[in-house]
Amino acid sequence: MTSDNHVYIGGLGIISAIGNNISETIQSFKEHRSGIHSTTYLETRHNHIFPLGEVKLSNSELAQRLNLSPKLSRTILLSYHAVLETLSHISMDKLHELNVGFISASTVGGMDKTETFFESYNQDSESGDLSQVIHHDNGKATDYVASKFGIHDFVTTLSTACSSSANAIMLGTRLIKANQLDVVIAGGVDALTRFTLNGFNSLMILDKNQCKPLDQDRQGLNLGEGAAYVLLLNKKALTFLGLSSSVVVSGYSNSNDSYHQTALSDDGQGPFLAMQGAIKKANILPGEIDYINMHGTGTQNNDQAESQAVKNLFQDNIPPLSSTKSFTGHTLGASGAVEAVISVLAIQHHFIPPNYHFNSSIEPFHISPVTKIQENVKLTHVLSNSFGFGGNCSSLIFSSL
Amino acid sequence: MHELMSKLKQQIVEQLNLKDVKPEEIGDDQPLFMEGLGLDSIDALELIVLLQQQYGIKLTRAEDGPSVFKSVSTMAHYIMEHKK
Amino acid sequence: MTHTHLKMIKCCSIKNNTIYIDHQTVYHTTEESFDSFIELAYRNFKFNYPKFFKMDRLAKLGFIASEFLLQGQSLLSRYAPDKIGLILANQSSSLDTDLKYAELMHQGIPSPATFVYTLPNIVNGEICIRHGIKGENTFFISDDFEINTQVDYIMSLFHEHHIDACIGGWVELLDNQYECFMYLVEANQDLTAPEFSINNIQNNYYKSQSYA
Repeated sequence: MTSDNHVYIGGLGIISAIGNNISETIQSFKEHRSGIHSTTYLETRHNHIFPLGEVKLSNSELAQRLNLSPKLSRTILLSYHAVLETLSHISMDKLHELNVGFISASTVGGMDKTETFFESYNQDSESGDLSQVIHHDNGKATDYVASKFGIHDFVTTLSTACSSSANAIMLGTRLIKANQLDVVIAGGVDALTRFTLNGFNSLMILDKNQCKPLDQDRQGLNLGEGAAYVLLLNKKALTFLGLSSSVVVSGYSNSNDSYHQTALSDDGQGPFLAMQGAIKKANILPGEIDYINMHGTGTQNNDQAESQAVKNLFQDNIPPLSSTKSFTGHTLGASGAVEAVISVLAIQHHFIPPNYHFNSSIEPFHISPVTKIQENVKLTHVLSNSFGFGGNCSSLIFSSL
Repeated sequence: MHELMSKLKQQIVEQLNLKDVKPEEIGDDQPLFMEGLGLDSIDALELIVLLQQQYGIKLTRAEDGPSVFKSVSTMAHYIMEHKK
Repeated sequence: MTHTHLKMIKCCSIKNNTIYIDHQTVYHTTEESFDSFIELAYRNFKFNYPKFFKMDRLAKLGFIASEFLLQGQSLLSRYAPDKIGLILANQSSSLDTDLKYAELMHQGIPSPATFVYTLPNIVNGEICIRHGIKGENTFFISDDFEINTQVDYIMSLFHEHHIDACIGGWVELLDNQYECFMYLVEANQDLTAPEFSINNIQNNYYKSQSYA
C-alpha cells in the first residue's frame, strides 16, 4: 500500500468568456482582458441592458469543432469541450484500465433548449420540437458526456447552486482518498439562458455595467457561462498514465450558512466555517494561504459577508486576493470548477490573477484586491471559495508539493 | 385611500402567500418588515412585482424599497403619487 | 469511530397522501392533490412555521418529512450545528418549479419568490434554516435513488469526522407524482437500533416503496 495518499491534479480543461482553453484563459489575465460584454449570442429582451460573460462561440461553431450535433444543449457542448481538453494528453485506452469516475455539476441542465421549445409550445400546444427537451434533465448532460468518453465506473450529477462544481471536486477527491476510484474528472458547466437572466433580474442583483466585486460601489453581478474540469488522480494512476504533477487538492470543506435562501448572514458564518474547515483539512494555518480566489460576485450581500468572514479568519494577515468573476462573469454551477482551474493555473504558472478593476474597498474591512496581474510569484497554498443559494458554502485548497 | 389600502392588504396577502394572515388584520401603519409582518428581502422583490403588475409602477432601485414598503400606508401614498 | 457505531435512528416516508414514521402510518388524508394533502398535514400537526407557505412544493415535501424526522430528537442540543450533515437526492431536480417559473416568465411576470426555488438544494437550505443546521450538505441528481452512493458518502463524512449526525434521503416531486424517504443517522447510539448500512437503507427504502 502506498503511503502517498495525495490527490493529484493531472489535467485541466476550461472554456469561458475569457477563453476557449487554458492558454487563452491565461493570456486574458496577462493582457487584462475581460470577457464581459454586451450580449452577442443569447436572444433576449434584455439585450444591451445587462452585460454577460458569454463563451465566444455559437452552438453551431461549438458543434462543428466537436463534431457533435448543433441540436444538442449548449450545456452538453460546453461540458464536452472542457472534458476534451482535460483528457487531451491522456491515453484513453490506458485510462479505461483504471477505475474512473465523472462528476459533473450544473444548475441549468438543458434549459436552453427547453425554453425555446416552451415558447413555441406555449403559443400552440401542437407545435414545438420535442427533440429539444430530450436533454432537459440535469443529469442528462453528465450521462451524455460520460458515455461519449466511455466512463462508466462512477457517474453522477450534483446541483447545489453556485457551489455545485466545487462540491463535485470535493466528492471526487474523497472518492480517490477512500480508494473507491483511481481517477475522477470533476467539475461543472452552466450555459446562459433567458430563464437564468430573467430570474436573476427579478432578484435585482444584476449590474447594468461591468461588475465591481469587492468594491464599496458594487452594483451587482454579471452572469457568465462556461465549463471546467480537473483531472484528479491517485499516485498509482498518475504513474500508470505517465503523468507528473506537483499540485494536489489538500483541503476542502462545506457548510450551510442556514440564514436565508438566497442571502448570506451578516457575519458570514457559513463562509467562515467553509474556509476554516478547508484550512484545517489541509493541516495548515491561515497564514500559509498565499492567495484567495474569492467568490466575489459583486453583490452587496455576498461581498460584505465574505469580507467579514475573511476578516474574522485571517484577522490582520489577509493574503492577496481577487475575484476573477470580473473577467469571466458569474458562471453559476460552473463557477467552482472554473475558479478551481484558475487557482491551479495560478500555482502552475506562478501568477496571481487580478480584479478587473477596483476603486475603493468595502467599509469597514478595507480589503483591497490585487488589481494587476502579479507574475513570477511562488504560490504554495491557494484557497478558492464558492458560495451558493440555499446557504451552501464550499471552500477548496490547492497546494504545490 | 382607505379603499386602496384595503385592496392592497388583500393583494399583499395573496402575492406573498401569507396564508394565515387576514388582510383586515394588517394595520395601516404596521411595519411590514422586520418585527411587523416579518417580511424579508424576497418579499420586498415580490412587492415590486405587485406594484408593476397591479398598478403599472416600476420601482427600478431596490434601495427605494425600504421607504416605499415601510407600511401599507406608505405604499398607498406612493401609488397615489406615481400611478399613471 | 468505526462504522459499526453508526445507526439509522429513524426514518420518515411520505407517499400517496400518507406519512409514515418507521413504517407506521402517522397521518393520512383522502385528498387528491399533493398541495391539499401537505397543507393539511402542516396544519394538523401545528408546526407553526409561516415560512412554510412561501416554499415551493419540493421544499414543502422535504420540510414536512424533516419535521417528523427531527421531532423529539433534540438534535441541536446534542450536536454542534456544523457537525450535522444533510445529504439529499432526487431525479427531477427543481423541475416542478422550473416549469412554474418558465410559465410566469412567458406571461411577463417573472416572480423572484418562485425563481428562488429553481434549485433543488433550496430544500436543504429551508431545513437548515429551520433547525440551525450548519454542517456539510449536498444534493445529487440521478435517475433512481442511488443508495450505495449516498450511504458511502455519508459514511465517509463520519469517517473524516466532518459530522456526528446526518439526515439523508430521497425527495422527489414532479407535478402530482411524489415520494419522499428520509432517515436520520447518528454515531454511538443505542446498540439495538438498526445499523447504518447500504443493506439496511435499501431494505427500509424498498419497504417504504411497497406501501399500498
